[in-house]
Amino acid sequence: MGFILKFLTNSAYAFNGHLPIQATEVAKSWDDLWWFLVWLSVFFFILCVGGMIYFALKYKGKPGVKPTYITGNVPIEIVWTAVPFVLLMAIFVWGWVVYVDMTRPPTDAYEIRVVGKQWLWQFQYDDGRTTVNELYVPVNKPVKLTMTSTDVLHSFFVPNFRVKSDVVPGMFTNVWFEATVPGKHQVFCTEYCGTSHSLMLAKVIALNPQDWEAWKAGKKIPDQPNADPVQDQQIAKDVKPATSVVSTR
Amino acid sequence: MGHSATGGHNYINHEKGLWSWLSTLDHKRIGLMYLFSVLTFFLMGGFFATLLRIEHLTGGQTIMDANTYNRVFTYHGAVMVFLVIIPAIPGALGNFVLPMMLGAKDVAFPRLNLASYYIFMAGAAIALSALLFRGADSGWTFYTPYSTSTNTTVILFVLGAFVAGFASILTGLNFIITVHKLRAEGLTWSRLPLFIWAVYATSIVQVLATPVLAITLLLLIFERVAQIGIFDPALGGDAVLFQHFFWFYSHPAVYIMILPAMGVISELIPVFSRKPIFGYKAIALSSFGIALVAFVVWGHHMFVSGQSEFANFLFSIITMLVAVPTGVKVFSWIGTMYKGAIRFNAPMLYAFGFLEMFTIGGLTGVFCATLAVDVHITDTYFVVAHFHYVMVGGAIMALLGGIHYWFPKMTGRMYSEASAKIAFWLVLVGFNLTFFPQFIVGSQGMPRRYWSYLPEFTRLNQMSTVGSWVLALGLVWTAVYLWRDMRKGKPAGDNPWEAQTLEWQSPSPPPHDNFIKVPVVTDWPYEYRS
Ligand SMILES: [Cu+2]
Ligand SMILES: [Cu+2]
Repeated sequence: MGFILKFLTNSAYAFNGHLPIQATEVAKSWDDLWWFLVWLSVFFFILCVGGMIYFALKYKGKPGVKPTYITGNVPIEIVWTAVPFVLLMAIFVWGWVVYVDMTRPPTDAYEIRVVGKQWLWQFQYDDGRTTVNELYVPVNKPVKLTMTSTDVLHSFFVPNFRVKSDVVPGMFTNVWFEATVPGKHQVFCTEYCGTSHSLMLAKVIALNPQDWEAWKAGKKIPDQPNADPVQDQQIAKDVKPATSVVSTR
Repeated sequence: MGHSATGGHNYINHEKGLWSWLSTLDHKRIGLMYLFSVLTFFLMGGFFATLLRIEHLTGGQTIMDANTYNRVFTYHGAVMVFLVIIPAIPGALGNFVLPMMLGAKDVAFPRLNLASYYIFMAGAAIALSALLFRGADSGWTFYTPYSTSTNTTVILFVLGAFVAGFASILTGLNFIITVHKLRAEGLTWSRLPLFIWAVYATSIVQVLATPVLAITLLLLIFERVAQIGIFDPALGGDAVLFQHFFWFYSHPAVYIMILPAMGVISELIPVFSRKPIFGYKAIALSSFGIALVAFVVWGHHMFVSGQSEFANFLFSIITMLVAVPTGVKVFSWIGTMYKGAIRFNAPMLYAFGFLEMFTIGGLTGVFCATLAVDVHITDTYFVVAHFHYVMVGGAIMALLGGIHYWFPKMTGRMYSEASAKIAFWLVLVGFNLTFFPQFIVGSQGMPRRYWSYLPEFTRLNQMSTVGSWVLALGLVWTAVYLWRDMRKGKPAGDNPWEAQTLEWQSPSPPPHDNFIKVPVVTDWPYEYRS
């Protein structure tokens, strides 16, 4: 019993906090669209499934109850074709507008080159410096990543920024972002790439101007906290993180 | 338990012995052979799924290493898609029911029908033989250049899917011709049951789309064997080209999986509401609307693949259109219940389950179609949850509903309603507990096809795993009581549901030739007035 109670409270905790933190302006406009879709879905879910349950209970077959002979109703059918159509087109336009913001980098963006390979991320900066699995960027400055792969498909995903793009061999793809929250942001590889796909992780380390200048000058900078505090809490109280595996490929 | 008019003679005791089944040309027997094969593969795919969920009890290694995990998720996906959901409703229920609903003695080409079954089984055998070698770890989508460079025996899976595809094409052809040529007297197009309309639309998609898969898989095999340089950039090929080819088939394939399911639901709801279907024409036409649009939305799987902005614009807006006819169907089914006299037998419960899950699957599909939103959720568990709500919640719920609905016709016996109710609630609760948390964990950023995951995703994964046990319990229990009631159930009678489609005018189980008296149709099949 105690176990079940603990499980339920922990589960409620997991539902809480829902989306990753908003670490870009794009993340904010993305979240607005997301919550609009969530509430619209809740509305239609209640309309459909609630309607189904209501009809099921109200028109439960009993001896002596005769069903009404109805084969359709053209005005109603036109309404439930046209209203969703208009709504869907509106959602499309909204999605397009946010998408354009999300994917078209400003012309003055600071460019960093990214190479994905089994199973690590390499970052090359304008001054010739290279880092692995740690991408250093300034906060409040647009950054554009130009990415490619040297083997199979990978995908560069930063949940806190709401951006993602596949990283494709033989081709260059881009993502851009302007981090507004300093600290470490989780990066995932989201295109299946073999044995250690789930361990192909990295961090975007967004630095405030002072630290950024220091880092650029090759000086030591203070350790940066996780931008999303959930990550610290969870690591402290939960299971140990995954250890890396030996490749057999 | 015999039928007076046939003297106890039916398709089951018409001939005896295993060979009489293996060599049968009777569509009913072939349908049952598909059913048993598909359910066996379903058990297999479900077993793999259970392993995957157990692995996800903890973020690190629980029961298997990463390479094993990658194989198991590949087997789960490939078996469930190619060997279960694609053939399930057309192959099993379609074969058994379609000719009878038309008032025909059999399909147009019974020999071809049997050949299709064996081609399907040969494809399955080739694919699964990979397990005896080095397995396959490419995922069921076989994305290049991983699939052309991994040292596992992916090629056998690809070849198996290639071969099984021909069964799909031939079955589609057979059904199209059967519907055109073998309808009973008076069964005009506007009197066709909606299940027939749906299977007919599906068959057209099967015939037109599956050859593209065949070509794609063949090119993939050439690429692997001969290193030609079609898909692998290292050889001068284009990695994204494969995705275009693959989804050009595999998106329509989603409708090969879901349209027949919609057809089943369109039969169940009027029968158990004792009312005509609401908006017959709209439902029949929307099947074709969906089938048509299905061919031009494949790029919505590739919004972050590197394809052009303009392509994304087009594929997003066209994908939105799919939601319109889909919504029409859902609203019409619910409208059918209005002022009915609803009966709560197991097939209807599964129709309710279908509506709950499919509504969630459909609404979250709009999230995926919305360009900006998809960028964040694509290739995360959100998408995994979405397509399980559509595929399991849609196709499998309809399959279970259909199996319970036609069980008395197939076996002549009734399943136990009490046992079925327990199973239904286990499946409903188990399914939602398994997959709903995956929407949340996906929106939080957990990618799919991840052997290990970060600690903050632990709770939701554990909920999902517990859910999978409840779901598994419900499905195993279903297998147990159906097996029991197939032999020991009460005699069902010819038309226990008082349904009006033609298969119910025949004895249960039907005679070898389906009907004692050739049926003549004088009305549409939804004439429920009492
Ligand atoms: Cu990866
Ligand atoms: Cu699709």
